[in-house]
Amino acid sequence: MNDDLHDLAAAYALDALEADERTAFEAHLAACATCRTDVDAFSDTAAELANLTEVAPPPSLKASLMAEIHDTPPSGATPTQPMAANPISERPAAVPPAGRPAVGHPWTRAWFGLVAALALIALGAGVFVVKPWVSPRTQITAGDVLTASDAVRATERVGDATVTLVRSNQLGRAVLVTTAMPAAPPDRVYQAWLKHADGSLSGAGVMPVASDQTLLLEGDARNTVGAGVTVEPPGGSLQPTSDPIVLVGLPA
Amino acid sequence: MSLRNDLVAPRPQGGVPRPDLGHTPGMDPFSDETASAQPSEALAQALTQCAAGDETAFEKVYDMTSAKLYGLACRVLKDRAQAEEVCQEVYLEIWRRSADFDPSRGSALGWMLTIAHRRAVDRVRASVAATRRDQTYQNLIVEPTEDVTATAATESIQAQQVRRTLETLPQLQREAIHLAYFDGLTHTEVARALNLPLGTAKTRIRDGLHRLRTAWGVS
Repeated sequence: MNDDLHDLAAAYALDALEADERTAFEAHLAACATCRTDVDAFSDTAAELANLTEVAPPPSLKASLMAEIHDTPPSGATPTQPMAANPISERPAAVPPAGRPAVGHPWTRAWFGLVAALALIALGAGVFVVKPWVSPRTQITAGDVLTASDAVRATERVGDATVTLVRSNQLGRAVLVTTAMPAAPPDRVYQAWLKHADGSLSGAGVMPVASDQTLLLEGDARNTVGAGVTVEPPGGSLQPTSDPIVLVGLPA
Repeated sequence: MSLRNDLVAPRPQGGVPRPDLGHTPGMDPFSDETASAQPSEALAQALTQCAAGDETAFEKVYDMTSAKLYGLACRVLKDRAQAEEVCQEVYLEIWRRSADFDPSRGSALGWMLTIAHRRAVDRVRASVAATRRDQTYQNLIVEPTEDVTATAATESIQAQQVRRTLETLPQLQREAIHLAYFDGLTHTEVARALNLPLGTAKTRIRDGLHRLRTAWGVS
């Protein structure tokens, strides 16, 4: 437990931390239930202050928003899985997310049509398909994952180092939080991997050189069962070339 | 929804009635049991419905909250056009992430305002150059609480309650919270604006928010 970090919950809720402090505190939040409770309460407290500054927005804002959301399904109700090289085998609409109705939304049918159209385009052109439904202004951040309501966490210790994995199935992403990681050997880098239910590992990004960091892992993390870190040549590898130095498992 | 149940408990001595915006304590015994009996309940319910793609529910959410989100963005950004842009982004994010809202962790409005405040503050920090910010400090030092302490005749009852509670804080705590929340300053900037050591500014922010949390009975 770090008393200094605990003291930052109020300033965090007011968005009064410097950028580096915010990153460090969000990493701490991943492992500290007390601070998560404090941040929730302080955020609600701060929200009361907004009673003092009410101003009605121009009607054009509502009109523009209603038009925009009509074309943008909520993330929990739409697949966010990236199109892979083989779009046919990855039709996300065929597997609705758990807990969401499979039919009945006006855009569900539109989604099937869109997927089919994209699949055809991808097959015809032989290229990756971009994700037109993901607005660049709403990219998921490490903070989103760390504070997601469905986030699950696990921590492993290796010597003095701690490696915490946080995963949100709703957001489909995972975050690795490290503290006190020793430097990688000379001319080598650390590379993160997501572990899937079938035991396979997929590359999740080369880690920046820093002992304490919060890294948003690359790739679809939904239903992953863990994450590992291996030592790799500069630039990383397509497959792990050594055994993981740490493997963090998540409950199934 | 343990939070709401907690709030039904008697307030501590000296507690100040909490304005109705997030968690409304207790239920009206004469109302029926529909969630719409309380604005905060209705908002939470509408937000939850957004996660299923319900555009009518989103419109309700917008109508119930837009003056608060837009007003806060205007205050932090000091620019209506930018506030409008931020609100556009924020409501779109709220729509997309509505499945993340967890009523057991806090109020729907609190969740939404947290997203809005973060966006507004990040934009201020990204766009305002250091020299410009130094000038801003000067203006803030002269009249740090001008706009908010000027009592509006049309002020809502909630706003009056919030203002009364703020006035119970020691002035130095009130100023520090004001600069952080409404002006989007970091605690380092608050320290500079109030000519205080950083540690003192941090303590004022923390103690001030603690007092408000206790006064409003946020568990």
